[in-house]
Amino acid sequence: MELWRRSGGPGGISGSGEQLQRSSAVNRLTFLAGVLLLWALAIFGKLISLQVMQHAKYTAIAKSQQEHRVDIPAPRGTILDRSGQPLAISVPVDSVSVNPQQIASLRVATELLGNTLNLDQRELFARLTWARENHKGFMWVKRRIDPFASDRLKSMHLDWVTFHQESQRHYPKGEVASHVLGAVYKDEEGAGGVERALDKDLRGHAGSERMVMDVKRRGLDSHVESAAQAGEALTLTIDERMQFIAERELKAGVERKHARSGTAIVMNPYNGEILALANYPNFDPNTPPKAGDDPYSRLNLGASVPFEPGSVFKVVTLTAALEKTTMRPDTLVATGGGTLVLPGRVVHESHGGYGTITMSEVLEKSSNIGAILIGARVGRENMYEYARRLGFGQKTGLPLPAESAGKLRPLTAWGTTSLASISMGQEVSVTSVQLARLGCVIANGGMMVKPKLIMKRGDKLEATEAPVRVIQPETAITMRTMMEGVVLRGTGRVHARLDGYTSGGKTGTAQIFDSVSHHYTHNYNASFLGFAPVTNPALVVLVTVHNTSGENGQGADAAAPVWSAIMTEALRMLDVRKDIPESLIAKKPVKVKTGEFDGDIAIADLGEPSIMDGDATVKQLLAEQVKPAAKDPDEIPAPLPLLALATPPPHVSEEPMVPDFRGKSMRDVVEETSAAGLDITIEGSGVARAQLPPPGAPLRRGDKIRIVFTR
Amino acid sequence: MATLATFFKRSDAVAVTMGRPETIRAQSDPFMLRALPNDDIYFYAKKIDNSRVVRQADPAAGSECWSAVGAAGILLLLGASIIAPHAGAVLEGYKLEALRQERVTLINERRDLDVHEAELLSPERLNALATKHGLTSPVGDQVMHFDVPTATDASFASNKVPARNQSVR
Repeated sequence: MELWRRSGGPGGISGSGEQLQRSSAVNRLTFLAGVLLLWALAIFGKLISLQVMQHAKYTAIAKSQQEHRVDIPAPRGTILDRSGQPLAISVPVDSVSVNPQQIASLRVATELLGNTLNLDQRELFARLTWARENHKGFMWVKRRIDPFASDRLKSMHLDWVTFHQESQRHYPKGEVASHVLGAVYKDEEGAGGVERALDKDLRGHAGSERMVMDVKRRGLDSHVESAAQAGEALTLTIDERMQFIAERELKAGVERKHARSGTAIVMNPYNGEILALANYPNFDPNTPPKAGDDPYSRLNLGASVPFEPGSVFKVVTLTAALEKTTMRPDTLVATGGGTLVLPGRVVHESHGGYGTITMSEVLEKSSNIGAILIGARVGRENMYEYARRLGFGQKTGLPLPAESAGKLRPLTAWGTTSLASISMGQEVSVTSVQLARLGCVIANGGMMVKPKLIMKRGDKLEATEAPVRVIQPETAITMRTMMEGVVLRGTGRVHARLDGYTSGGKTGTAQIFDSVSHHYTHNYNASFLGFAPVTNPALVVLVTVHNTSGENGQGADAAAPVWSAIMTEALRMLDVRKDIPESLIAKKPVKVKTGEFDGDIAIADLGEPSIMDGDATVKQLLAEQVKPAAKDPDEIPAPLPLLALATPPPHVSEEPMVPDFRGKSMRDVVEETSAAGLDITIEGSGVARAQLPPPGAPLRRGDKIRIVFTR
Repeated sequence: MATLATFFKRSDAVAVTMGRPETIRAQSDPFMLRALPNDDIYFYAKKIDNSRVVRQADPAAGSECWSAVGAAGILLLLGASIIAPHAGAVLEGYKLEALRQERVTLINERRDLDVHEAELLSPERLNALATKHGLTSPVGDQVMHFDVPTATDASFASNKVPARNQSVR
């Protein structure tokens, strides 16, 4: 269909009418064009106004509507044990805030939030009311809520509730290594242990980005404003299994002796790596401290609290003697009848007198008079030099806060009997870490290692400081042999022997100084410092049990069993080869008469003021109850146990005897036994070290000789 | 067939429709309603026979047509090539942000799972489980280690058997 507009009717159109019509149409078109032009100009003007004149304003408005600032979380660095097990890890959690001005009904809001977040509704309502009345537009309801509560609250789609992502520190192993790890405050700031000492490394720096969102709040694009910097992961030298064993055994040992506290340290003697650093009592870092908690539970006793070491320090005295005097392990020391007259005072051996004994026996029996006499041979200067050289009176450099340096007075401050006191472990205060380091020096052949707690930062291995030689290797080996004697024949023979391993060590029992009465009490710091195996020590373990009492509260009885349990498990975990068969160790418990180990107690009250006097940290510890100790000085030491390795039974029969294979190579032993027609069982490789039956024992038909070889 | 619209001026119509004075009078009647717009337009069908119209062949028209189509296509492509990247970027932006969000969620989930795994592997828990099942640490003599024969012990190697104890005659 077509539309025809005609100026005339069907019959025709006049010429003047047509012209009139055309001019009218032109006018209308001109008018229309003018209107359109004005309209276009108006639009163009508005565009200029919007896009040019007010560009900044509308860009800002658009940005505020389309773009949102989003925080890029930077979690605190994870702390791992040496096998990669997380000991401390930060997980993202939600925190909840509300805008009180947007809440329609405070009562409904209180009920919803209170039930979901398990809050006291009365208190919450009061807070909400106060915030609304004070025209507050923001109020934290609860921070770091659990994920289930967060999901429940999110499913309610409440407009006035805002979720903020925060981070929460989690310690998945609970109390394990709590003193090493420490804890964090609410804002993940380190509050102790490695968390505090290495807070700067662990703490991440959150970044932010601007995210462009559509009307449905879906992200379109994002621009990073500041990049997030995650905290550095730290890998500790701690082995969580060993740590757990140390804590378990230490707890059992402390509770068994009704002691106040304890410390156990397991160290690699060659590189100073601390495999376990346990303290008791300990704490759960997941739980913030509460009023009424044991204040000592958060104290790292091993690194921060010094104590007088007692007889363990005789190791320093004898080491100095071996290096600075002509004394050898078999040098005789006349300890007399148990009484020693010093300038101005008389010292009594706590357990009778040992008469004239060798230097080895001074260590085995832990003779105080013997140590004093040896110390006198060493001299003040040498004693001080060796105590310093072996790391006492100075911090070890562990990355733990409030590490104590202990106290070793300068020579000028020494009194007339200071040498005597220090020779047997009084008038000097040490930390457990320092003592463990002393054990490392003896075990590794005379090299001073720096205790190491951090194995890796991120993926980068932490450099190990090169050990420094502080004593001659011969001295260290001699000391190892002498300390083995302590376990075989001395104060450690009952509880410090290990099944399948040779071991060496030294017991220590130091009387605790009472800062109130300014006298030494009959409560003890019982210690045992030892290593195993003797020939090639794999580990050094130190155990200290604080505030024991009575005869059973001494190093040999309180600390050595814990040491033995920890060392046995630790060696098994490290798969250290046994160097003696278990059958060669007397399985029967050694009977020890009461008071036998009284000689282990370092005599106090020599007249000099205690080094512990004025120690603020220890004062609190020592303010604990003091129990009277009972001891019977008339008890006679039990006979030494019969050890196949050390004391072969005397030969009285005419029967053929078991040859002595010790020191021979495997080839020689095989050839010799083949020629003699002997039936043998071989274990290990290298050089024959032990055998059963022992050399010289009667050999019966059908007997098998068990020979242990070690390298 | 076509429909032609024709309108008349009233003045012309008077002259033409002289035979209808009543109507004129009636329109001038002040009591009558005014005529509606286009009231004077009417349509009628006019038969047009186009059968004799023959389309004249235009050889250039085809190419012009294709040129126009091509130009339009090119313009379309140009437009598309300008718009498509932007549109694509927007779509990819959606995907990217969704993937980023998913990545963050997965990282968070992995951390949660790490925590859960660490809790399950806690030595304290394992110890409790082991104790519950009657498992204990091996005592002495339960674990025996044997050395692998070295080159110097080659003659002895043949006698070494992977047994608990080794016997040699």
